Amino acid sequence: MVDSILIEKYFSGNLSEEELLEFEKRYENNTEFRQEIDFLKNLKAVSKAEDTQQFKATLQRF
Amino acid sequence: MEQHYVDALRTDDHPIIKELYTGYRIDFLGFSKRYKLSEEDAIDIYQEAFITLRKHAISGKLYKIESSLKTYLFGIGKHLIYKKLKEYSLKANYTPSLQKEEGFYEEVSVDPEEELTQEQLLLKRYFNLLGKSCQRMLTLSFYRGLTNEEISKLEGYESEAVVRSQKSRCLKTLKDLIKNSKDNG
Repeated sequence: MVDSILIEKYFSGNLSEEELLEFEKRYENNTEFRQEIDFLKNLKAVSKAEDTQQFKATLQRF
Repeated sequence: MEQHYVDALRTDDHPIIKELYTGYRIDFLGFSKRYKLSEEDAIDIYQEAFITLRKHAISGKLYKIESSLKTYLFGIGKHLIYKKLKEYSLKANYTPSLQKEEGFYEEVSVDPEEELTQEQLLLKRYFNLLGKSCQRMLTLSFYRGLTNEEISKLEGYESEAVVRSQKSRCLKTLKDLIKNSKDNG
């Protein structure tokens, strides 16, 4: 499976057990893949913080 | 739990979210009175409980919950009320009973939110330099966990392939911003 599909499925929580094993193996053995995932995990944390702040502002208007 | 409500929280369906948020607010403020909180604290707690509810919806946790959304929301609220009462009890001249009441709404434990690391705080600066459409694209993909297909439907893109290429362009822009700053720094 190409990296972009594997990554999309990982972040949307749609990896099958077999795909998860493939993901973990690639994360373990491929430095470039690992760096990309670590970067995207940081991006997830950042966008979560921003998104939560915006949602709070939305609730305050209700 | 009511699936359509969970979906509405995940996809930011504002009319439904507004209906839920305003619909349970009065009930929650009434419920919180038994704990003798100030009204200001009760309002803040309700808001925080609702934000936590949405986080749980986005993480996929709510799809496995059998109780109703209201019961779960009030359970989170109860947890936050106990936390607030502990804060009150640390203040002089105020010692509320911390006796936990059983029944009614079962307390839902909430993990404390992790602070952003230094690396993430730096990344946040570059993220904020992106255009709003890229910020939204990356948020929908990596935090909200929507598939390209779901993003395409939600945002009205022509196809899943357009989402894929737009996302890739946004990631490249973000990485270039970081790289250029390092080169110039």
